Amino acid sequence: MSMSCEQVARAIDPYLDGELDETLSADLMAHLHRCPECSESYLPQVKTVDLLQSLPAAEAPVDLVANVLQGLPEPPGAGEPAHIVWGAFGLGVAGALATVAVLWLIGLLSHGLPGTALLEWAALKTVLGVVGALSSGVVKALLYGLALNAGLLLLIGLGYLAWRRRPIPSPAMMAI
Amino acid sequence: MPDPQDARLVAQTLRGDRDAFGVLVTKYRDQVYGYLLRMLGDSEQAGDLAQEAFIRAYTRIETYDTSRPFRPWLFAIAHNACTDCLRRRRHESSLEDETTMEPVADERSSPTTAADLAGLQEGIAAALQKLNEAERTVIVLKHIHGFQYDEISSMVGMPEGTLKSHACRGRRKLAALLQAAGVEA
Repeated sequence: MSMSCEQVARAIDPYLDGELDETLSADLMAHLHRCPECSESYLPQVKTVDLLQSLPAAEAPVDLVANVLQGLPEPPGAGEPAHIVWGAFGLGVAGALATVAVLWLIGLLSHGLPGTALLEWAALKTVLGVVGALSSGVVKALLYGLALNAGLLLLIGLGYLAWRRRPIPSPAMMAI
Repeated sequence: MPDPQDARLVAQTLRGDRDAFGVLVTKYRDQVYGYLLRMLGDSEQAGDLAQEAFIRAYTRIETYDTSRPFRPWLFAIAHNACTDCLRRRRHESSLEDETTMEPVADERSSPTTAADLAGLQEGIAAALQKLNEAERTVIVLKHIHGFQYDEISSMVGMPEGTLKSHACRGRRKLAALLQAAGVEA
């Protein structure tokens, strides 16, 4: 079947996009070689696409692979053996738990001073620290442990000061 | 369908095997570099950006959906890096820079010898730089790298219809530029 100039005008872009079937493509090319007007209008585009598709592949610089590998960042936790990561995490958690225990003891010894509230706060921080350490590498685990313990030590200090400033119970009240 | 070799190499990379990622870089370096070279028209910048694109791909490898082909995902990263670079270049560009752009080859050439082929490639490279960014992107991805419109659409975030319009305009402009410069197959 022969294509008309109007049909070629409609089919040229689908042809160049590779969306025309073989029969229609053959009809279109036959028309382009037969019709001087369509040939002038569309053949340069056909040749351009042929040129683009036949271009040889560009060659990347020889040192690209080496440079990429050299520039790769360390993945989180990579390069650290698992036992070191878990060891750091364990130290952080153990330190936090020990601090909580001391805090609780201070609260107990100070007859109900802000020990309970501090204990709740410390427990919350411990949970947050554990969650954080679980989702991170060795450096973050250590940082969590340090931050957690620094915060708890500060609270111990504040608790101790509060305990020192409490009103001294009189012997009569002690007897009650 | 993802290439099984790519899927295996990505899985190894995710387990911390940097050499596996090196194999992926070796496999795709020429394609990614070629895309960036044709987009930027500058071999040094293309090399630097290819390196940056591969490093970006490594740092985001966990976001790669292993049920889909790796090549379009990698090209999308290269495309984003290229878009950033062209945006920076537009900000930094001055009239002086624009006048130093290589002109389209003005001598008739036919690719029969290595020198002619080099001239032809230079002519095409120069003509590509005359297209706007969207036209150049779709022409390079579609006609040089052989991607389908649906793949390009997901790479560059443009509807297929818009891409086809850019391709249509880009082909006409490119054909006219090459004809005017006497660059023909």
